[in-house]
Amino acid sequence: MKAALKSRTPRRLPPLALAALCLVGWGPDVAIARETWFTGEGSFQLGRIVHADTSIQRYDGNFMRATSAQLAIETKFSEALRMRAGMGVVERHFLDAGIGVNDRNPTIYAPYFVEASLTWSFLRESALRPSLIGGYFPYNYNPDAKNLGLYLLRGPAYPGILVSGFETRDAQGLANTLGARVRLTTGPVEHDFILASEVELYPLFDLSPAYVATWRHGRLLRLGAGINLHHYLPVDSRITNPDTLAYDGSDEDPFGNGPYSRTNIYVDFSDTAGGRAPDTTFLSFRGVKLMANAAFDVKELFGGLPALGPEDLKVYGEIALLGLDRRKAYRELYGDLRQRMPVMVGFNLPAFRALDHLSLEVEWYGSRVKDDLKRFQATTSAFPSPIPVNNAGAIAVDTRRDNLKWSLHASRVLAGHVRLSAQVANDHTRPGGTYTSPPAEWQGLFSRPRDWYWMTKIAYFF
Amino acid sequence: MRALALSALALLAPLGVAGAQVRHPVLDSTVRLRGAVWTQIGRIEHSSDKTSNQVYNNFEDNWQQAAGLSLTAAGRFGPHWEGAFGLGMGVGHNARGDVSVANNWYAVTSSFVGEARVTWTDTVKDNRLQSSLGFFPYSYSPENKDLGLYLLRGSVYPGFLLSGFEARHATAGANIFGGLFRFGRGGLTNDVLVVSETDMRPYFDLSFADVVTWQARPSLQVGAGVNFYRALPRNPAPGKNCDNLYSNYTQVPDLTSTENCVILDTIAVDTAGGTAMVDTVTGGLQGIKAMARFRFDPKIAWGFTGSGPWRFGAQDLVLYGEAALLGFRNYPKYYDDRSRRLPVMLGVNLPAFGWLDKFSLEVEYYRSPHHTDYGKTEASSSWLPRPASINTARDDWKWALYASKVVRGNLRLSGQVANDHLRTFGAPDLGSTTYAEALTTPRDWYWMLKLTSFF
Repeated sequence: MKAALKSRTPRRLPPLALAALCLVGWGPDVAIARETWFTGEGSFQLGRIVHADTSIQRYDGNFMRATSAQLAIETKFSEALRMRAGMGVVERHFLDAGIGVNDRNPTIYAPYFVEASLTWSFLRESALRPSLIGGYFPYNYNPDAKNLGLYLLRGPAYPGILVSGFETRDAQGLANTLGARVRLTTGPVEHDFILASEVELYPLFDLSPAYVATWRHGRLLRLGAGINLHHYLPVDSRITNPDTLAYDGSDEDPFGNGPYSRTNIYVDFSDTAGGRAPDTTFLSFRGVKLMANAAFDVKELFGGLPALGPEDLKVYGEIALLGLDRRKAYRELYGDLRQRMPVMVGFNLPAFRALDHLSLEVEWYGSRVKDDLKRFQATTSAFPSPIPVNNAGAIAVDTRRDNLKWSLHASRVLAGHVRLSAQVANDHTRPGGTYTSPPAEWQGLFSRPRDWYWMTKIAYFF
Repeated sequence: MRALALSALALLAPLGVAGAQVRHPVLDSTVRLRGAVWTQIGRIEHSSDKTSNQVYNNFEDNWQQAAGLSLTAAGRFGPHWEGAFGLGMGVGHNARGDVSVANNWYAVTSSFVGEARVTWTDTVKDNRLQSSLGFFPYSYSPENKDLGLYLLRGSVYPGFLLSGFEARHATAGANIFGGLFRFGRGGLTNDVLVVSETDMRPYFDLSFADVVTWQARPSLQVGAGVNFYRALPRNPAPGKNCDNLYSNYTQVPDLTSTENCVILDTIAVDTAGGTAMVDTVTGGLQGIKAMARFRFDPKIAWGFTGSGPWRFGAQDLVLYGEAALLGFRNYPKYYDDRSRRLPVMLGVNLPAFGWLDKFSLEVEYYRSPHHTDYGKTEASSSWLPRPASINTARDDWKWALYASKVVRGNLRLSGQVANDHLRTFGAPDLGSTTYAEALTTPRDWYWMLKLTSFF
């Protein structure tokens, strides 16, 4: 998407320009960038929820529409140092849900980061070719994934709830990591050391160290693996790893509260004979995630097939383990390790150059946990918790029927600057609430095999 | 008008082209682009006031993080005209406050206007003329890193001060919404400013200020100014018509609503009858600020240069200071002593010998008797202070130690440790929003680090 536009600039800023440097200040000896590029994109998308879980709202038949514009500048200070800064605005709306509220459904304008980062390639003559990127930047260890997967760095560990949707920022090259990444290269292997600050899900701003290794054999084969010590460097351990009862009082009567109404503790009543006190376990947001991924392009065995596009026939996949703690409390709440292990397989169907790709992705995840991120949101009424959302009563979801997810994504670039894309899927899209209840709904829309939606998008970019 | 239209066109022109400097094909204008990205992290290490702003607002050990970017285009068209606009966005968070309310802690992404101005400059004989309109950066004392700048930030009644780590008034970010008319001749510069209030309620009142700067010697600069704060209010103070009913200030339980727009001054008490004679004193947010300042560079005055690795940097050893009077007029009960409306700050650029660009220690003394809280102004447009529930004698001294260094021309590192007028604004949606300062005793302090890349 990098534009061909490029220009040279003088090496010194004029005094007035220097004085106007936004929020930077007094730099007395500022050398101006030598090369600068613009990238930009404007897009419009339209889709519809054809069938969805009606236990939360009547989303069946709801249209989804959004339009966005973004602009970014990339500046190369030297061969070793470059900066990228970009922002965008998206206009969207709450879902209509029931027909009764859609006439009052306002438009929402929200800014977003394209990127705000600095990349430094140091010791470039060394065999390791190290580089450091810091700020708010995009990172994707599995570039073949269009929708599903990317388990290592998105979504919580406890409970292991997955994140996906139509062209999310993780799969689109938009900033998704606030922190830093060091990359070292040893022969065909890339080593990424990541330190990411949590900015989406509670508890915020904890640092998660992660490591991802990727081995490539040309275009034929890519193998990768990684580990994420999720929330292992908390900004406040009392929040991430509590060792007291919750401040909202929800833990104070362990006998009276059900396991899903508590916040910081799990109470084991299995051995209370003779009046023994139940065993209490404090729970933590902290957890270890493991991941392995691979991509195999069978065309390369034949030296490529001219009739097929470069992405056709590629097979790729990913498997992860979300949380290694096997104590009883964790087993009871999150299941055994098999139930914390999502698997995704993707296949680029032959499109014979009519499309840039046509990707079918299928995911299996036997989690016993309701697909709901509500307990990771800031709220005035209750404390966020790693305990899953209660899945009982009228709003109960049969968690065995949402184990299989799928997505078919297609994309084509025309004239170098226009991109058409579309998707039909049953994935982890969340409604994000309605106009009358904006923050209330973080539950996945699609909990049964017959649920699905479609989405189309047209984008102009340079 | 034609010039304004041309400037707007010129500024819009480059967006469809590209490059850090482009020439408009029709208007013969040159447009430059600037950008910055930054990330910062810090921590309030000690905050003594844990109760007066509700127990929720205990800021001790609170981490503070933010990241952002800004993009600015500045165009020069013709020999006299320049315009600029900029936009940016940041991600931060509400204050976490006490751990018992951390459940409502969330990240906030927001956008902002970095700059939007048109500037005209000319020289007639020896007279330098300049005029800026719009939203633009202005500082009469660029030396200040944190404290000071009393003339154009903060209020008159009640006289609260503003400061903090790289607050926009102390950087080159836009801070004046209005107009600047500058006349300069020789070492003398006179700035007339019209300022529309955009920081604190009530918004859009107009203030009129004049700032004089005289470069008396190469080593000595002195300045003075006056600000007729909110001289032209959008809505005048209610005066005797005050009914005290428009207040919705319910932040703290000990705050009565009896004094919002008038002072109720008890001038006599009949102990036998159990009655009091109360004088109703009217006033408002309007007032006059006056400021005087200096900057002295002993290196130039006495020829200090240092030698070898101990050669002084350009900013080393510079002394600077500022004093202000916040409101000439006395009012009984709350504002009856001008010496307690007189903040003074002194700063020195410590010798950094080129290792740092800025290494400054600033100290401030301000003997205000009032709680450092402008919540009553925010909520009720009140000119009266919040009743003090802290020992206001313990926050008279403020200090800041600031350092910055530009590396490789485009990368800037900066940091600060301070006990200044930092405000965190509390945890919203819990009914605990506070406009009080987080640091109220000599033991309180915080640190902050920032990494900025810019071009």
